This record gives sequence, C-alpha cells and structure tokens, in this order.
Amino acid sequence: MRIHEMEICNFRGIKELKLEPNGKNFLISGPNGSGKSAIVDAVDFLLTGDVSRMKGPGTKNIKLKEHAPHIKADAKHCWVKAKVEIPEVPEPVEIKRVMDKPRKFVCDDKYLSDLEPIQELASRGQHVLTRREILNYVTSDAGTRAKQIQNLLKINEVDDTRKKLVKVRNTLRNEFNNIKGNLNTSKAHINATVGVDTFNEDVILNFVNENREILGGEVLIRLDSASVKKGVKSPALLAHDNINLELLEKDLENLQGADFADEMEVMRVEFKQLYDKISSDDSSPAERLQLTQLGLKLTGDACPLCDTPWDGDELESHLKTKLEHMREVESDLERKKELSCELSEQVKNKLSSLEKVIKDSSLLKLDREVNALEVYKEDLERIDASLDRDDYSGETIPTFTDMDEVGAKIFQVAVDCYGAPSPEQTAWDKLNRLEENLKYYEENIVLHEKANKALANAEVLYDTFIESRNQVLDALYTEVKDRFVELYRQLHGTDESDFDAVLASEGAGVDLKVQFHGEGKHPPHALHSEGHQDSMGICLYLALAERLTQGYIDLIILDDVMMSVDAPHRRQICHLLADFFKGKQFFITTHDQTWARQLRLEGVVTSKGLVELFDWQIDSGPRVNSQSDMWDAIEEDLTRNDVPSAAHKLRRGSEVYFRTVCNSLGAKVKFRDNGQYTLGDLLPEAISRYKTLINTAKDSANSWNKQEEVGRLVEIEKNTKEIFNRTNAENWAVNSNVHYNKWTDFNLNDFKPVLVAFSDLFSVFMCDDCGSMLHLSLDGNKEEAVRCKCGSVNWNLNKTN
Amino acid sequence: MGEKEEISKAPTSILDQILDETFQKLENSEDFDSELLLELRKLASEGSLQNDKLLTSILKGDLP
Repeated sequence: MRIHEMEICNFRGIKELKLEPNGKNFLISGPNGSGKSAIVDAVDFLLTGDVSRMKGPGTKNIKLKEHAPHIKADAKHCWVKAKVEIPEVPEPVEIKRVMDKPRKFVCDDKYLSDLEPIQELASRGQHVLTRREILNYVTSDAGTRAKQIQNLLKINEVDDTRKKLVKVRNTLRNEFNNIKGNLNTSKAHINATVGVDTFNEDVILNFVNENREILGGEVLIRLDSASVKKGVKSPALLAHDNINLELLEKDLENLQGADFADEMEVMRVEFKQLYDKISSDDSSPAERLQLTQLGLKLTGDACPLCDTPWDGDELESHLKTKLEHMREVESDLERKKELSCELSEQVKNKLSSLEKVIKDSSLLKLDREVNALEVYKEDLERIDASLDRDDYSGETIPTFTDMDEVGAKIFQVAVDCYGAPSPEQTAWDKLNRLEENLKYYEENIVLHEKANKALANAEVLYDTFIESRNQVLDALYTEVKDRFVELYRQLHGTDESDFDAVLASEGAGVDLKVQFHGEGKHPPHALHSEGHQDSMGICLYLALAERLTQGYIDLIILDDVMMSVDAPHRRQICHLLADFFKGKQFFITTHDQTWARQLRLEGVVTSKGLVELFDWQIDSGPRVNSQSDMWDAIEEDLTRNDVPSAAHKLRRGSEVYFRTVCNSLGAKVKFRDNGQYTLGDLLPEAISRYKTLINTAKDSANSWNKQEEVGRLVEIEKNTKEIFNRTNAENWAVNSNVHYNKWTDFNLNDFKPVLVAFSDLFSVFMCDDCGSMLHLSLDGNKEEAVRCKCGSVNWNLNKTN
Repeated sequence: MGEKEEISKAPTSILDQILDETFQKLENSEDFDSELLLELRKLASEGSLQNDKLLTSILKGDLP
C-alpha cells in the first residue's frame, strides 16, 4: 500500500492539510512544534483507528477522542482520509476515518478484504519508526531490546502460547501423579489379600490358580478380574455376613508383624534424619536446587530473576557449578523420596488389612475393639495422607501395642461364632476379595495409561513447539541479521568493512551483538558511538520492517530519526533509501533543514514530494510551504524584488549542492576541521574534478577506439566549457564574502543572468533524463565510471591494456 | 480472481509459522496420533490453542 493523496482535518494541531505524495517518497520538514509528527499520527489513525504515540508509559490520562481532535473541534469534524494504491487494484482507493467513530474504517465495501491484511499489519505498528524506538532497539539492555523486537514481531503471543502449553503439561502431570498414587493403593490392597509385600502378577496369578483349583476351576494363564471366578461355583453356605477365618487370621498377622514394624521404623528414622538435615538448613537447599535447575533451563544473556546481563555461556557454566555443589542435596532429596514411597506403600498395606479386621469385628459386635482399631486406623490415615501430600516430617508411625491380645480375642470370638470355614469357602472368599481388588486395580491401570499418554502427548507437543519456535525465530533472525549487516555496511563500509553481528534467539529473548573493528562482538552501545547506534537502529528497523510488511504496506515512516548521524553517513542513508528500498514509499519527518536538503539533492524526494511546515498557531495550525525547492523559493523572492534574500538562498543552496557534488565525484577539497566549507572551497574543486573525469573518459574511449563516444564526450565538454566560462565560476567564487556583499547591491536585472548561469551550472552535474546527480562508481579503490541512476550517463574511466 | 484472493489473505504471523512447523513435525513423527493432530490443527485454526481447558481435554482424548 502506498499513499497517493492524503487530507487531514482538525487533527492533532492541524486545521486543514492536503498532501499529494503520489505514491512516492515524501518529506515533511519544519521546526519542532510545527506539526510534523501530527502527520505521522494521522497516518497511524487512518490505518489503525488509534494513535500509538498516545498510548504506553506516561500517557495515562491521554484519551484519543479528547486529545486527538484540534482545539475546540467536534469529533465529527476531525477526520483523516487518503487515496491509497493497493496491489492488484488498478485505481487508488479512498479510505477515511472519523474521530467520533474511530473503530469504523470507511471505504468501499468491495475493497475491505484487500485492506484487511494492511490494517492487520498496521496494527502491529511495523511501519513507523521514531527516534525513541531506535534507542529501544539498540541501546536498551538485552531483556528490553528483546521485548521491543518481540513487540515489533508481535511474538508476545508466541510466549503466551508457550505458557499455556506449560500449564496444560503441568495439569496433566499432576493428574498422572494422582492416578499413579491410586494405582499404588490398589496394588497394596491386592498385596494384602494375597499376603505378600511386593506386587508381582505371577505370584498373584498363582494365588488365583491355587484357590481356583480348590473350587475345581481351570488354570488361568492371564490375570484379570473378569476371569478370577469364571467357571467356579460359590459354596452353597456362603452368606454375605460370613467371616472367613483364614483371611481374618492373615489380616491379623499382617497387623501384628513385629519384624515389619522394626523394618518400617528403620526407614522412618532414616527419613527423619534426612528431613531434619534438609529442613534445618536455613539456606533452603531444596528450593535452591529447584531454582538452580529451573534457572539452567532459562539461561539467556540475562539472569532470569533480576535481569542482570550475563554472557549466555558464562551464566550456564555458573549454574552448572552451583548444581555440582548441590549434588549431596540432590542425593538426599532422592533418597527421602524413595523412603517416602516405601513408607506410603507399607502404611497403605496396613490400612487395607485394618479395614477388613474392623469390618469383621463389627460383625462380631466387638465394639470396644472396633473403637480401638478405628482410632489406630485414623492415626495411620493421617500418616498416609501426610505421605501423599509430601509433607510428612518423619513423625513416629503409630503402632497398636495390644494387637496380639486384641487380635487373639477377635479371632477366638470369630472361631466361636463361625467355626472353621471349609477350604472351598476360604478359597471363594479369597477370590471374591481379589476380584474386587483387581477391578479397582484394572480401573486405575486404564486411567494410568490414559493419563500417561495424555502427559506424553503434552510433553511432545511442548517440546516440538519449542523446537519449532527456535527454528522459525532463528531463521527469521538470521535473515534479518544478514540484511541488517548488508545495510549497515552500506552506511559504514568505509570505516567498518568487517562489520558483522549476532542476532539470535535466546530462549524467549533476543541476543544482539555487533562486531567492533575486529575487536570481537559486543552489545551495540558498549563501544559504538551514538551516531553509529542510530545507524544500527535504522538498519535493524528497516531489515525487520521489510521482512514483516511483506509487500502489503510499502509505506515506511521515519519520524525524526537522524539526530546523531553525521553528514557523510546521512548521504549514505540517502543512497540506502533510494537504492535498496526502491519498492517502498518513505514518509520522512525532520526538523533539520540540512538533512531535508540532502534528501532532495540525493534524489530521495523530488521537489514535489515535500512540504515545509512553519509558524504553527493554536487557532490555524501550521503554515505550509510545499514549494520548498530552492529555485522556486528564489523565484518567489525575486517576484518581491528581494534580491538579497534570493542571493542568500542561491549561495547557501549552492554550498549544499556542491558539497554533494564533491562527495559524489570524489573531488579533493581542502580539509577544514570545523567541517564548514564555503562555496569558494567547493566550486573550483567540483569543476576541476569534472574536467579531469571527462578527460579520463575521453582517453578511455579513445583507447577502446569508440569514436562515437569520444565525439559525444567532446560535445559535452564543449557545452560545459561554455557554461563554466559564462558563469566565470572559478574566479567568481574565490571570495564568497565579497561577492555575497556585492549581491546586496544587485538589482533584479543584474541578478537574473547569475541565476540562469547557476541553474545551467547545476545541470552540468545532473542527468538530463532522470535528474539524479552524477556519481563516481568504484570497484574497490579503483575508479570505474561516472554514472547517473538511470544509466543514461555512463563514462567508462578505464583504458584498454 | 484467484490471485486477488491470495493477496487478500492476512499475512502469516510468526505464531502461525511456528504452529505450522510444529504440526508438520508432529505429522512426520510416527508416535503422534494423527486424529489428535487433526484436533489440534482445528483448535489452532479457530485461534483457541490458548484455551487450556479445551487443549487439556483434547490431549486426554475426552472430546468426541
């Protein structure tokens, strides 16, 4: 998209203004406070419905509808409209936005779909560069710069997505751990039924087959709840409230085992020692270990906690050393976790048996024993919950001291009441209980597999996303970096021919380092001057914007961005804008008239592609001079018979012009350390250089036997000689002061021939076809040719060997 | 007409490029379920990948 015409009404200090860039580069110059940035804001408002400069830090009480319209103007009468050129649309399309409905984009509906991607890109603010942003891109610390570049790339949404993926993964991990705990509980129940300490499917299958054999069932080769009682019949006397004495005896044994109590106490003591050791350390070693491990994952060029800049490798190495020193803590934590799991398993096993004994005791109406056992069960459940929550501190695991006595009583009463069960009944009861246990186990197996798969999917998704993110961003940064280096070398190739840079993703950040005269790569503001940093900011922005606008927005706005760049490098920037971005339309604002003239003389903007704002008044806004071309301004002075002003403009304009000529043709001008060259310094050298070059070109054409070219050059030489003689320039410009004073006495008729002569003199150094200034082309240090931009002028300077 | 429609498409954002690359890698992976991938692509195309509850359900296979 390019702007063809633009009208602004009652907007940000502008009363009425019409600009006609005609899709070409456009220059807006004027002193501070003359309304230049209001034009930038108007473009912003037109494309986005907002003014980005009125948002962000320090703009809390600034409101668009209240502060964007010009003083006292109604929001309905505050608008910006433009005719824009859109790819694939033959005629310019009119678009408009009015302040009373800033969200409403007014245009012919049939173009809405064409304009949608343009508005989307504009909303990212990727087409406007201000000096403040240059500083943000280049001189800020790594974290802030990363943020600025990420904002421009709009990749904060990438990190938001990453955070969501982490959240989802953690949720699924927690669910998996819970289900894993349930699975262990179900195994503990099975172990209690089978009477073993360790879960082993073969042992359980043997247990099933032993009992099935008693009941006349076939041998099973696969363990599952549906098959446990398949093909066997229930003993006839089975009753729901019967007590199986064999199972009861086994459960009582499980609760009474002294060896087991000792073993558990040994584990508890070891656990307690580790717990005390870790928790008594005021430095919180567990948290430190976790933090260091996390920090290692997040290493970049700054500390993830305090943003202190670090060399990426150095920070990683530092954290690895810290981790090495924490090996003992890590080992202690791992052992503590192991002990916790073992204790948990044993406690669950006890609880399983205890529940069965309490149930049987209730059937036997042994209320006192039931109460005592319930208290014991609550104590164990408290420990069990504490272990599950991972906040167990190693407190003593309660024992039931009278278990032998109480157990004997319960068993005796059971024997008295129910007598010894038959082997078939016992087998049936065992299978019955195991079937129940296995159902719970199988449910948890299914859930476990599902949770495991979901977690695995979440982890693969996250890892793949991170891998893809790094791949896409690295490719983007490499592409941008290459262009950035190419552009910067165009500006500073003469003094930094070996310039190179690193632009790479560092986790969620961006690492930018630049080569400094072969002395290694450093942050941009470490060693480079402010002017060089400005150049870097412009080049980095142009490289990023070019990549991101992707041909949808050809408009790039440079809002007063040349503060610290010196004059020679500004010329290089002119070449950069004119030669490297031919497909783009630049809107350039500046308060610097020298820079404005350079842009004009170097052909970045034409005389029709500029406005000068001045004399801003609160009620009327700025005055506008769109005829800023020097010759037009001189003509205007002469219509008022103001020869001194016209002469002054001619002299100043000539100084700027011949300064550029000398630079373009490589003329040798006597050096002045204050950098202030008069016309007397510049003009003779420019003419002398021109003569030398045309002579060299003639010699070259002769050596190649190109007589036609020789003839053409002789003709040019003859014409220019006449112009040089007519202006008597060499003598005339020796003492500019004398001549300047002399001009003050000139009348209109005296001055007009001087003006015509100078106009002709200017034209000597420009192409008749494209209007660009002639320049010397070099091949390394070798002078190759004198050329113009369109190629009409092409004087070969090299002779045949 | 076709060319014009092509131009009118919003440019691919960095996030979309990353997601395209992610899904392509997952498609090339033999271990990742193709139906799940289809669901994820659909979720991303609707701009709902940041809906963590929906994403969790899809990863668990809870959605039809």
